[in-house]
Amino acid sequence: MERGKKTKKVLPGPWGLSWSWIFAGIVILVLILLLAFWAAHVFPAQPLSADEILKKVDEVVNAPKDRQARIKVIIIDSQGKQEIREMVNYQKGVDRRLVKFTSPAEHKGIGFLSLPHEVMYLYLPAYGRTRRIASHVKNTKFAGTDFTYEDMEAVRYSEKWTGQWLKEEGGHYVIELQPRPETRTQYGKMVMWVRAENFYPARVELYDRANRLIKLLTLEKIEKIGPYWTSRQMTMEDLKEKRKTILELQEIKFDVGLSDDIFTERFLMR
Amino acid sequence: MRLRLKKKGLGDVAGFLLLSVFLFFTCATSLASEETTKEPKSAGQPALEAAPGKSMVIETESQASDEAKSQGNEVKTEKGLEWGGSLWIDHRAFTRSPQNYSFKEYRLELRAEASTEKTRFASTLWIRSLGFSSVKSSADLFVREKIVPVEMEIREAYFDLYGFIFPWLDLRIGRQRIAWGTADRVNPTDNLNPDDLEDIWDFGRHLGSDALKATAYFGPVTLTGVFIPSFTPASPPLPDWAEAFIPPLEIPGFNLVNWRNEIILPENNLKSSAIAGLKLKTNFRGYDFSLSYVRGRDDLPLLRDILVEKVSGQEAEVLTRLVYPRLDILGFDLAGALGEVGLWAEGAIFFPERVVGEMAFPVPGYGLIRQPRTALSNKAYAKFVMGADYTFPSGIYLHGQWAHGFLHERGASELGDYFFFNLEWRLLRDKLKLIPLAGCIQISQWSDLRNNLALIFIPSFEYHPAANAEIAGGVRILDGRGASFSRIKHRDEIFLRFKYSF
Repeated sequence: MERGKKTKKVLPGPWGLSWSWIFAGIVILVLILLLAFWAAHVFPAQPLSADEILKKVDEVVNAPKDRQARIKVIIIDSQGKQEIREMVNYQKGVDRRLVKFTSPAEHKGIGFLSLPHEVMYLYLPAYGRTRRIASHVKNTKFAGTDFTYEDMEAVRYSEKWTGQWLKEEGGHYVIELQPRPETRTQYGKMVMWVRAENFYPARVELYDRANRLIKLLTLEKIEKIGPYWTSRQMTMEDLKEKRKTILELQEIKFDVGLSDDIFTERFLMR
Repeated sequence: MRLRLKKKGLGDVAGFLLLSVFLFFTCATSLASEETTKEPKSAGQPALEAAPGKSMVIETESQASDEAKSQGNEVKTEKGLEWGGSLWIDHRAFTRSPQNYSFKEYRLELRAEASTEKTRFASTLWIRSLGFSSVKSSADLFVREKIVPVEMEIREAYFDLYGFIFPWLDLRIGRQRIAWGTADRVNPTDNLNPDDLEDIWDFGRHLGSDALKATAYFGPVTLTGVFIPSFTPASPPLPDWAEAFIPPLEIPGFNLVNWRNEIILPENNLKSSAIAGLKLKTNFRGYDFSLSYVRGRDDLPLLRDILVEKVSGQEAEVLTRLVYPRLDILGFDLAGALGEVGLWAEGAIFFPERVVGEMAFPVPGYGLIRQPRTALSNKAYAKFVMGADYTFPSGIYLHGQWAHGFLHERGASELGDYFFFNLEWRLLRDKLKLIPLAGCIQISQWSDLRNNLALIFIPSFEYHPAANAEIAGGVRILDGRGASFSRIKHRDEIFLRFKYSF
């Protein structure tokens, strides 16, 4: 009788483990993953420091090797009257920039070249030569806009400013920037709203040395063009004089392979 | 002697021919190189493009599909013909009774420009009405020019060849302004174009020269060579202002009743008339430096001969001859910053040729007695300028310059000192520029300041009521004693200027 009983044959799983053990293992693994996922939401990871956020901002904002764009400048005064200027802008890295006005007629041909170590040249077609300009112009308004020459500079924030964590608000990290001792700037401090999802700055409050809020920079239309995040519209508001300047970036091209020859007096005078 | 002259003439002709052949060759080569770059790309083949201001990029169809790179990979500098220009209206009047008009100019400036990747054409044309009706008789009323003076002038007309033969070489051919120097308007090294002193309050203005300019770029070093085949004299100040630059001719004990003068231009050939210059520019430790050499001519005439032709009592009739002496000029300039203050300096050593003329005077019974006079010594002298500027956080811009020697001064003992100052305050988002402090102090002799001093004070404003429109006005106040600008101290004036750019 014993002999006639059909015995149930158990097929061994991989590595000699039974299937029940393997099944139990998978269930445990899934549970662990679910637990981890839940924990990540309930107990967020140690937040980044303000300086780390600033470094990430630098990585995102200065990611392209170079950039070429046509910029429409809309200047709006306190009565709402508008003035429009247009310029082309070439930028390579963070410390080479060339700007040339294409309109209106009175500004057409005027060029500005910014090179490393605060070497700057201005080209005025009427004089037929470039003029070296010193860094004292940094706190003056760029071509009648609400952006100063300093605001127009491409910059690595983490090299010139130190960060201090303030808060997280509506998907943004809010940090305060204090100038490093060696930094030459017109501002006493900045407060920056950085988008948590991509580390792109969305709003910057600019304070004077007496700690008064004087200007507000808003970066809008933040889009991913190719592999790079960029803002297509920047608005600088002068809170004291109640006027603003909008920079609309059109025909943006990244990693064009701009030659160093562009960032020379030779090209500036063309 | 005749043979030598002939040989000289042949030499000049040969020089001219060589120049022509060179120009032809350069143009032909450049055009050929343009044709090469315009060759159509064959399908599927990578296209190799290289141009100044543009890195070499290999573009294939597959690469072109890359999202980032497909957005373009070149700096387009090609432009069709573009027109622009300005209307300039300038009215001035003396402030002293009877407040006559001193100057009037209606100027239509027309600019045209066209360019390709490797070439550029540019021109500036002035059509203008300068001055007032000069009708003196009924016959003049039939001369349109005397009723409404109108003139046309090609200020600049040239074309550029970029990356000519070599990628590092640019060529500019035609009438052009070649502005050398780092100082503001007073430039001892700016000696290639003739001075345009017609309007002395726009000093620093120059006429264009028909020239060939080659500029070679070797990294941070730029080498510029200029060749101007023929000499053009400076345009002198208008008669009301000429005294500031040209001292009145005086012969002690006589009144000049008839003063004639002859201008002797250099011979119209390559050897006598040509001007050439070389400049080397570089950057070192954040400062721009340049060294220059010009083999040129003084573009302001030098009084060489004084011939008193006739004397009657206390009255004398005089003939003077003026020449343009040769000059060799060694120049140097720098520009940079000290902290946030902008700095510049510029200097030049002038090596003039010795000019010996004659002085002739009629002596009763002896006829015309002639004696040589040294009109210009060949002793070298130096002019220089130093300046600085700064913008205060309030937006006030301060600019100052010290110049030793002005453009009309020759010889070490003649050089005066000039202190230029300018304070600007931009308001209403640059719409209004107030210039309450601007002008110059001239000191021609430090040992006797009170009698060798001139002051020019020009407070003014500029207002931009709308895009492209500018209204400017101000007053020019002059005073002093002994110094050259004090000679026009009775010519204080007010001015009002309008400009529209299009």
